[in-house]
Order: sequence, then structure tokens, then C-alpha cells
Amino acid sequence: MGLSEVQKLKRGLRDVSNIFEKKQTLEHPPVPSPSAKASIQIVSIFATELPEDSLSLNMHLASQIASAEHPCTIVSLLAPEVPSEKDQMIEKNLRVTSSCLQGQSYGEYLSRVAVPYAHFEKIFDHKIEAGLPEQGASQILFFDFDSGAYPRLDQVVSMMDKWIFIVRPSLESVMACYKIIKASMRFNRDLEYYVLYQGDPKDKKGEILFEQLSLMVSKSLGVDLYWLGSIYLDKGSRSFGADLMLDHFFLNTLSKIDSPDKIVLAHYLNSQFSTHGAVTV
Amino acid sequence: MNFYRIRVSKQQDPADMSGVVQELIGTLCPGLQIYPLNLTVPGKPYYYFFQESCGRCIWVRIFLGPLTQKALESLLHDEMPRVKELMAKSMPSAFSLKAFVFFKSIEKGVEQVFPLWSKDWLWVEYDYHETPAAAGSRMAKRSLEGTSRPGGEKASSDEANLLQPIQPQNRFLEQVRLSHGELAELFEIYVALQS
Repeated sequence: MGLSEVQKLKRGLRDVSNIFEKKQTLEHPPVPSPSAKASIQIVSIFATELPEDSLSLNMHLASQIASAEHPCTIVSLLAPEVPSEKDQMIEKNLRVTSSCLQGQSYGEYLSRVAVPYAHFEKIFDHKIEAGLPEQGASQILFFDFDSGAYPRLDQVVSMMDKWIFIVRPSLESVMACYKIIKASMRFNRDLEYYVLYQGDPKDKKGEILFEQLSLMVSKSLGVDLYWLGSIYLDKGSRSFGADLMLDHFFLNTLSKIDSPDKIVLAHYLNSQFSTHGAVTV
Repeated sequence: MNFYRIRVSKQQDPADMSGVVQELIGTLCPGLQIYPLNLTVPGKPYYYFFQESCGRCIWVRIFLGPLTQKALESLLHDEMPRVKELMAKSMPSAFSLKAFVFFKSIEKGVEQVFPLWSKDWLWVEYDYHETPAAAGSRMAKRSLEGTSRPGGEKASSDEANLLQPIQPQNRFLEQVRLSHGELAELFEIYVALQS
């Protein structure tokens, strides 16, 4: 009887969520891969009704995670059309030019870079060569993009490891979350989906929403949803607080996403930072 | 759910659909004081905007045919958020938005799974004595005429912004269509969250 069969016969946490299966993987380190894909994970947050807040939400989560073990980079993917106020601000602040990307550094383990669409295409079209990162070095990229406006979502989604949805207890929000999961499955079957309830952490609606939506998603689409906690957003004061359950978020440091584009992008960003440096703020 | 069924006689002035819509609202809500707002959206000829004396804006969306699942999805996810945005820009003092949706018939089963329950929306099934094509053509012409002021004066830049066609809010989401079964289940989740 193989190891996988033994696991199937036991009931436990592994049956509830595959997060716990990953722990098993950690206890049995895999043979090191010649590729660097394992060390690069791409995460993004999608707020159904707050597309303009994508940057601050990604930044908030990244600041909770960034450490020596998990250095994080926010990658703002700028849409090619008329730039939004946010995009204009990013371009101005980060001094983005067509020839190079100027990043900002927020301490030792958190940085940010903006990638105009023309630049994004060039990275992959020309397969810009860059040195491979050191084996075993972990890197987490947070994609900050507007899923409603960005044209190459197939390429963006195919690189991603984890997608976090901020969901309100409204039909529009629940439906948008379900729809985007359904749409993204065409591009990436290994993407992990997380739910962050937008509301009071003590509100039972968060539990009801997650239980029912995860059941439906599992039954209809065959994918698991994971609970990431609650977030409170106040649009008036533009402030928010969060009660995040991040203990298991990066339990598995190995990426399942076998995307050459991901490697090219990560290496390119690394080379840009090492060549042009970053402005520390 | 507020669901009205009315019969409308052919309008007296074929060029002024806005007046007809105003009459319809008056019929549905006797005593409601409303004023037409000079807002039009090129490419979206079936939108009409009014304002109540209390400041609330009213958006009227006319469907010349049946209210289908696809039309409702588009209404809820693409149109309504953009209209709210448009109203917020053009009428910042208005504190809420009410919607009237006119349609000739309703696709079987749609009312079971779609949010026709919103108490702030009025759903009006109408029987209009005119072919849809004729009404559409006339209303489109009216809408395009409304993009410039009388005498050929161009609209101001603020007005021009308001006159931009309403784009789908999220192209990614727009590609996804849900089955009746999926809609019903999502609706059940919503109902559970309301209890």
C-alpha cells in the first residue's frame, strides 16, 4: 500500500483541507528541482467592489508576511489604456520610464515596482535573460492589478499561486467571487483560492458565507476555498483593520505552478533591482 | 418584490420618450414629484434619469424585449455600478438612487433566481403599442441629439465625461455566464446571509 493510499484511508485534517497535506510534503522534502519555480510564489488580492484599493490591500498583506524567510515584492501591473488616477500616481512616484523600472524599498524585505503594460509584454516577448536566483531562496510577488481592465489576464492568472477574494455578504460580491473563480480555472487549474470576509470578525455571516460558498464551489467547480479571516474596510476614512489567519498561508514554500513566465518575470525584476537599485522610503 | 404590469397608450409626442416615461412613473407612483435630468449616454438609448424633490435620483432602464437572464446579469453587474458612478459624479448631492426597469415580458424562471426582490427597484412589465424596432430607433435618435446643446454648442468637459459610453465594469467577469442552477445556489447563499 503506497503512502497516498494510506492517506486516503485516514480521516483527519488532511480530509478537511489540502493545506494540511502540504505539511506532509514538508516533512518529506522533495528532490530539489533544477528549476527555480519552487521558490517563487505569486499572490494577489481581489476586492469585488474596491478595485482602486488593490494596491493598499496587497501592501497590507505583504507587510504582514514580509520577513527574511519570505521577502515580498509588490508588482503593480499598469493597464495600457487611459491610466487611472492610481496608475498616474504610481508612475510619478516610482519614476517609471520605458527603459527601466525604478522600484521602492520599504525596509529590508518589502519592495514595490510598477510595470507598464508595454514593458510587461516586452519582458516575455524578448525573454530577457537574467541570472537564476540562488537555489532555496524564497520570493513572494504580490500582483496589484485591475482584473477589469488588464488585457493579459490569461498570462497573469496562469502565473499566480494564490488568489485572495475579499467578499461582502451581498449577492453582487458573492457572485463576482464565484464568477472569477470559474473564469480563472480556464487559465490555471492549480491556483489556490482564499476568502477574506469583509465585515466584523465577530459577525457570524462570515462563517455562513464561507461555509456555503466553499461547499458550492467545491461541488460545482471541484476546487477548494480556504478561509483567511476578516477585514474591516471603512471607505469614508480610507482605513482598514484585519484579522488574518496567516499561519498556514505559506506552510508550503513550494509552488505548484509550473510557469516559465513566472521565472522570467521574477528574474527580470531581480535583475532590474540589482542594476538600477531601489529607493528606500 | 415590487412588480407592476401596466398598459401604455401610444405617446402623443413621438420624439419625447422622456415625457412618456415620466408619465409612466407618475402612474406608478401618484404624487411623486420628479424632474428630468439632462443626462444621456451615447450607445445606451434606453436610459432615462430623473430627480425627486428630496434629491434622490431615479434611473429608468427600458428593455424593448423580454427580461432575460443575460440582460439581468448585465444590468446588475455591468450597468448598475456604472450608473451609480455616473450619478455620483453628476449629482454628488443626491443621496440615493432608485431604479425603474421596464420590460415587455420576463424570461421563464428568471424571477426565481434573480434579485428582483430589491425594494428600491421597481419592475414594470409593459405592453407598448409600438414595434420594438420603431421605438428603439426613435429613442436612439433622441439620445444622440441630447449629446449637444441647442444651437450646436458643444458640451463642457464635465458634461462630456458624463456622456462617455458606459463600459462593462469588468471584462473578465463579463466573459462568464452562470447556469440557472448556479444562480439559484448563489441566491440561496444570499438569502441565508440575510436571515
